[in-house]
Amino acid sequence: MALLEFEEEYRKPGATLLRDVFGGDPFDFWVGNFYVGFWGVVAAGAIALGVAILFVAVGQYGDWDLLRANIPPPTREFGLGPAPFIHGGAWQLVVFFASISFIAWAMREVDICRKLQMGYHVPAMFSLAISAWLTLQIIRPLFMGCWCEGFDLGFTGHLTWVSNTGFRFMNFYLNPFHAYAVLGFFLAAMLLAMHGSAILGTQQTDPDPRVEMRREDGFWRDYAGYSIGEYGIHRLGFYLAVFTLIMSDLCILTSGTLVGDWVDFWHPF
Amino acid sequence: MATFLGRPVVHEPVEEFEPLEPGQPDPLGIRLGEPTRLDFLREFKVDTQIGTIWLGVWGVLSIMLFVAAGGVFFLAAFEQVNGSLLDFFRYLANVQLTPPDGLGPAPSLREGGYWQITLGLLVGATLFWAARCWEHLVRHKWRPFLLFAYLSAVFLSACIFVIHPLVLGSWAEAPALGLNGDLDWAQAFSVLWGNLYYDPWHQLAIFFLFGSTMLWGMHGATILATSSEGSHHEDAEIKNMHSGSLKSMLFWRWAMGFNATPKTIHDWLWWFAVGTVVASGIGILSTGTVTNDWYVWGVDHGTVAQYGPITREAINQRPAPIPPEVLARPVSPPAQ
Amino acid sequence: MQRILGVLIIGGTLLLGQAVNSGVVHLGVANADSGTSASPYGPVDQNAPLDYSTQPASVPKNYQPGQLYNIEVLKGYTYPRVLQEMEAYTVALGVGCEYCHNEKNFAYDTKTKIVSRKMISMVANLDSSWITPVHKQFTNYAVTGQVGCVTCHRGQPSIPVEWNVVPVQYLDWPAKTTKQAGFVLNSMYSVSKSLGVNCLFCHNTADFVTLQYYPSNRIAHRMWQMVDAINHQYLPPDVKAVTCYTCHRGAKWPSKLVKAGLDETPVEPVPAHPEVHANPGAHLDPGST
Repeated sequence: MALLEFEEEYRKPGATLLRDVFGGDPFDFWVGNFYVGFWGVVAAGAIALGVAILFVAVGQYGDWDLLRANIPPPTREFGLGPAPFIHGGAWQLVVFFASISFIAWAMREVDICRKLQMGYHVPAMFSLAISAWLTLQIIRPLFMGCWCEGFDLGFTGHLTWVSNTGFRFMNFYLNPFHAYAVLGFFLAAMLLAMHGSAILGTQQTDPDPRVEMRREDGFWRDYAGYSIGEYGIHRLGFYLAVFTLIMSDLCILTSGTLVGDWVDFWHPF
Repeated sequence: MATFLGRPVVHEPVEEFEPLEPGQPDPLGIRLGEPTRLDFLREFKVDTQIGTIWLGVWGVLSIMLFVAAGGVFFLAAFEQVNGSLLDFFRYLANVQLTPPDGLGPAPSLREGGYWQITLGLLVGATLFWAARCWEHLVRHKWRPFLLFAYLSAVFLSACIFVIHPLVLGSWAEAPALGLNGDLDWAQAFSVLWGNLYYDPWHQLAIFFLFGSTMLWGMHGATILATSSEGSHHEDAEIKNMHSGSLKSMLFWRWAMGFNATPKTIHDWLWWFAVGTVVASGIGILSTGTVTNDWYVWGVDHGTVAQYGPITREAINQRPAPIPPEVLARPVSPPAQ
Repeated sequence: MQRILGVLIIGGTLLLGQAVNSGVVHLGVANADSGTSASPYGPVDQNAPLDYSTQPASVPKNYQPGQLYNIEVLKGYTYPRVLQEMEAYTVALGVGCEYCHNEKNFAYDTKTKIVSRKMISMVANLDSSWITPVHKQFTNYAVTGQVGCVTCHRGQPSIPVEWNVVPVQYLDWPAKTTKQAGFVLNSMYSVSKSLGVNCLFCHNTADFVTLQYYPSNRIAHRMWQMVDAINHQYLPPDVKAVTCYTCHRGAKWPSKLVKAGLDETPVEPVPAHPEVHANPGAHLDPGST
């Protein structure tokens, strides 16, 4: 693939984790646009294996439709042990390889940050996103004592899981962590629209950047009384996403372990 | 200029803004008070100036209607707790104004009148706020992205509170106004209409919603990671990219194979945010019209596995009959 | 800006003060609903004069202990058998003879005695009309004697009204509007708590409306109609209603509480539905109450 015109000077070997720890990195190269690195190899391997198992499992269950295909977790009697392939073993393997690939992807992003001498904010955020997956599929089932607590790997299958899990706890809307997370998601959507509009709306031809900034700050101050600033808005968005993900993790982690009925949770009131 | 609540203050040299229409100045077009500086905000690296805010006739009207709506709500709420202040806070989440049945005016205040009045005031406040938004976009010479985003959110609210009830012939289809009242509506709506998880527009909306938060994580993190090289001066970077923006682009190019530019990322952001509300609105509109049971729709269109026999008597009692092919479908696959 | 805020705060406080002053808003707790249905039917006032003009002819003015008078429901029972029944009632309701009877004349029809007759015939009818057929349909064998006084009363003369009565009209699914569906949902919660189960015990949440194939769902329909029958055919109108909780008290199946006492032996369970793999996430236990 074609390089961007400035890319040549940035494509240099070095600065990866492996190089700094072990002194050498045999995978420090690019394939097309993609940076490989040691973690890229791990990720590629895990993805390939996971997808292969996915295909075999879907073939065994028989339903190849993209939306209907479903790989269920083991049933309760297997507890935290391994299950036979058809009875949940496939699920266990796919979850294992998927988790490896997500973590490897995050580490690869760390390598890229080191190469480009950027802050680690992006892999940090991605790690939080992975934590939601890990919480749902690994950490909470460990707390609950069986792999059956993970969600089905399937498009509409996992939605049915969400529906059933919600009603299992009577009324999941009343989970306060869930409520905070929903608030975070909706606020994020609103702020996203505002920030996107601010940048796209001020694309004018005035060469003086101070005019643009005044027009942004000036608008927000007139409209809403406050302008958070061009640095501040990115901080706000970043930490709002962090807050939302942490609340999401907590909302599912406390369900079934600490609280069995979210309606009853509010009963003293 | 009216000086009822404050004197116009010019705190930094800005262009003189033209009135909305030539020769018809806004009588309330003043900036309010003095700007305040909250220095502790510097610790959080956000702007320290609070205020001033532009009043404007649209804004005043909107706030007035909003406060009136709040007043009616609290009046009705206090009536529900029999005037007890302690109980009001105790049951704050549970106080709710419920809509009336049917499409006409409510039979009484308690049986839907309060809901209708409050909603009417809120609709007015919303539309006046849209006018305020438009006015400011014009004054500051912005392109109208913010207005379209706001209107698409208004579209979703209109679908939920007005259009869907009108199409289905009953205000009772709309949510009650209140915390638990709204949550109950979300639950009941999904249960009544066959589980909204299987509504493809709802699925798309969730995709955009989670995607919005994901994009915030990605974009916020990228800017923060490269802010030492000035990537947060996004207007300047769009015109002339410096090392911060270049590194941001390369990061994503190397990580996922493609990248946006400092300008186009904001296109992604805007479309995901607007996509959320527009897809939701369409999902609400198709409920009860395209189908009255999204699970059965999903089974029909092959998106959902059939989990059990769909009971004939339940289906036949529904306002719109389910086609017989669905009834003849075989039972769900045996347990693994 | 600060001036504006100041004006708003002071104005708001003044408004609130006016509201409190005028009594629209007050500090204090509204009356909470009491938890028990106070029974208007007992105990009998032993000092009240006996008015024989309102009594049926079979009530003797000279009551002799050791003989049966004024028997309506327990027809054909011998005297010792009647005494046995009466003792069971006292244990089931946790009361003494004087609660229902006037001790000067045990044959005298007190208000409490009249209501008790309805209750006794109700108990017999519940078994034959509701419980036994349902049991036979879903477990393929019939049982009798499942319901006794003690099933509802549990050693108390008054029955606690713990959860809302669920109107039987809610069986007329589909609900016509989302608001109606909301009412049904909220009442479903009381059914859940009464049986100590979560929604998944009876429902597949993929579609509440059309997926009604679980045996527990079918049974619940019958039970619901039974509760309505109890409330409208047997209970006097001034007594607060019976709900699922009255018998189930938080258990999926009430204990086999027969007339002999508060025997807590559980009956054979009614099958709900198997945890089929085809239903993702359908867990009945942890999370269920």
